[in-house]
Amino acid sequence: MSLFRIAPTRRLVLGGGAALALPALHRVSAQAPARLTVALGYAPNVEMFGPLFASRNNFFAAEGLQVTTVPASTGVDQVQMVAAGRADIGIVGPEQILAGAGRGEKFKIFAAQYQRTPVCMTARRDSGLTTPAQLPGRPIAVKIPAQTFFELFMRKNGLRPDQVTVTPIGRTDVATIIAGRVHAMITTFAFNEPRSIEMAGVPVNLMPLAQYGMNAQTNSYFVQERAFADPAKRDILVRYLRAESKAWEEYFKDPAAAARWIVNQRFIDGLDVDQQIHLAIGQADHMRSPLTASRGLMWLDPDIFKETATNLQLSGITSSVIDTDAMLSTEILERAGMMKV
Amino acid sequence: MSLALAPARSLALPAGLRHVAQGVANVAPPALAIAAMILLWGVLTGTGIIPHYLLPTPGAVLGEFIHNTEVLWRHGKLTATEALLGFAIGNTVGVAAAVLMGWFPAFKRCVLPLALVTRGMPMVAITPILVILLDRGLVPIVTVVSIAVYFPTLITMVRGLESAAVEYAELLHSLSADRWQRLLIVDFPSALPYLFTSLKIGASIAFIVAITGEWVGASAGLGYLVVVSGEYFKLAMLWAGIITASGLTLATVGLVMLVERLLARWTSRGEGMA
Repeated sequence: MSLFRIAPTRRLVLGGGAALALPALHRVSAQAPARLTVALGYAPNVEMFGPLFASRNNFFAAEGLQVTTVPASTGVDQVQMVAAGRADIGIVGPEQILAGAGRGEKFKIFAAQYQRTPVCMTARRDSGLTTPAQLPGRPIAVKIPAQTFFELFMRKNGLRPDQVTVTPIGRTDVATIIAGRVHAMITTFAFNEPRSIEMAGVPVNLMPLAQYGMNAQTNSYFVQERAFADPAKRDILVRYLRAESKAWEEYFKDPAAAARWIVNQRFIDGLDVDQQIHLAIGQADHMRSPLTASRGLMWLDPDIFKETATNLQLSGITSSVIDTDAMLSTEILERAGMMKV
Repeated sequence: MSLALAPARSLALPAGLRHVAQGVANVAPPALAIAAMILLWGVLTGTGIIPHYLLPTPGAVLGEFIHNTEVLWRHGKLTATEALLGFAIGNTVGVAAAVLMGWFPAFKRCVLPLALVTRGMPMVAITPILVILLDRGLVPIVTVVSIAVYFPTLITMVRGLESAAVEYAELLHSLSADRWQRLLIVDFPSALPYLFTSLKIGASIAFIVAITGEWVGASAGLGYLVVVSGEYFKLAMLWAGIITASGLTLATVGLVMLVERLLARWTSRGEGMA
């Protein structure tokens, strides 16, 4: 699977650079579309509305693109897929991208869905926990893959990991906190586990990691650096984001309707419409920031990426602080003319 | 044995009725055990001894089977395809490798250590590599199932092919039979009991590995359905997926046992030439 496969004729048209590409809508329709594979950040639910809606409504086709979306799974991450050439664009947490960069992979990040991370610690309301300062002495459930996150969370808030009693839990385990065996659990996605726990009759308090020194622009869009260096491929990215922006415009008109659309389209079995509406409404807030209001949707905030890079070094995932300034580019966002929200 | 059968003989039931009675006697104990387990499950969840956030009621799971039949069928069909294809390929490779090992000792010395190494590798570690190399979908899952299934067949068939009675081998040797004739007339029939033992083991391994593989690198199938249901805390669907997988495994093992019974004449050790 080659990166950004373009028919030779198309490659010639694009060879001239960006100026040729912007008004290309009519021309591309007569030529072979550029094909690209996008490794989604999660299962095809409303979190992934942009690529899915753009795909089903031919927004990509109108831009001369043939896009294949690949849902995320637990064992093969998007960084591996992009690094191996199995996907052209990856959508994933910046932690994974920077960890890949720490191992020598060269990536370019050109957009980010969330303006602050929706990852949080969730506490039972009856525990009285509202801030990390109250954690010492409490029983806490830690998802096994999130152990490093947990330890960093404690240290960032002036605590030691051994000041709490840790119960390791599986990725999808909410029963431990519902049963009252722990007072809080980490990590949770703000729109998923907290709702499941409350649906079981246990009200919760959230401690967003973004407020406690661990912010990140979750669901960052990235490609291989060498692909980004090619002007023709950057043009494809511009067209890709332009189509996605159009999809997100529909989303922001009515997030609940977007959630219902996702469920009705049956991209995946097992979606609950109420849960998807809850996710859609909560997510809309996390996709907004002063930057998205002034510059546009999916804008990149260099300060947040620096914070993420510093945290990765502190937690030992990378041996040094990755230079994120060199990895970020807002060129595609600027050229795509993203909607302002 | 003879004492237990005595009353039935004294009643002198017609052969057809005796057959039915025997069938009922075979089916009733496991059916009763399953019914008792479901009843216990219902009591434990219905009274709240096991809370619903840990285990849904049998009624809730039954509801998923009724309302989401098409979903379970679609995902079950894919998992069954992956498991059965991997089962067929893995067993074919296992049998072929065992035959070659019997014919060529040097091949055995080369391959057996490698086979042991592959057996020792956890499938959750191999699957992501296969997904990256082969892309998502049927191929990596079938491959990983084949890898998991071939080993028990290989080991048992090596032993099974060596188990043929020496006098039969000597007889064929005196008749100038070639290795293919010896394989088909003596060695393979002698190895059939071993083969069916490994097939029964492989049938259960195939579904377990297919589902684990789907957790890691698939976008459909019962494993994927179970993971997604877990993510959204939809326990009834999660358990419906698990029960479907169990049912498919049992059906496959049952099918192997049926074939074994049909070939009983050939699978009783020592009767291959009878």
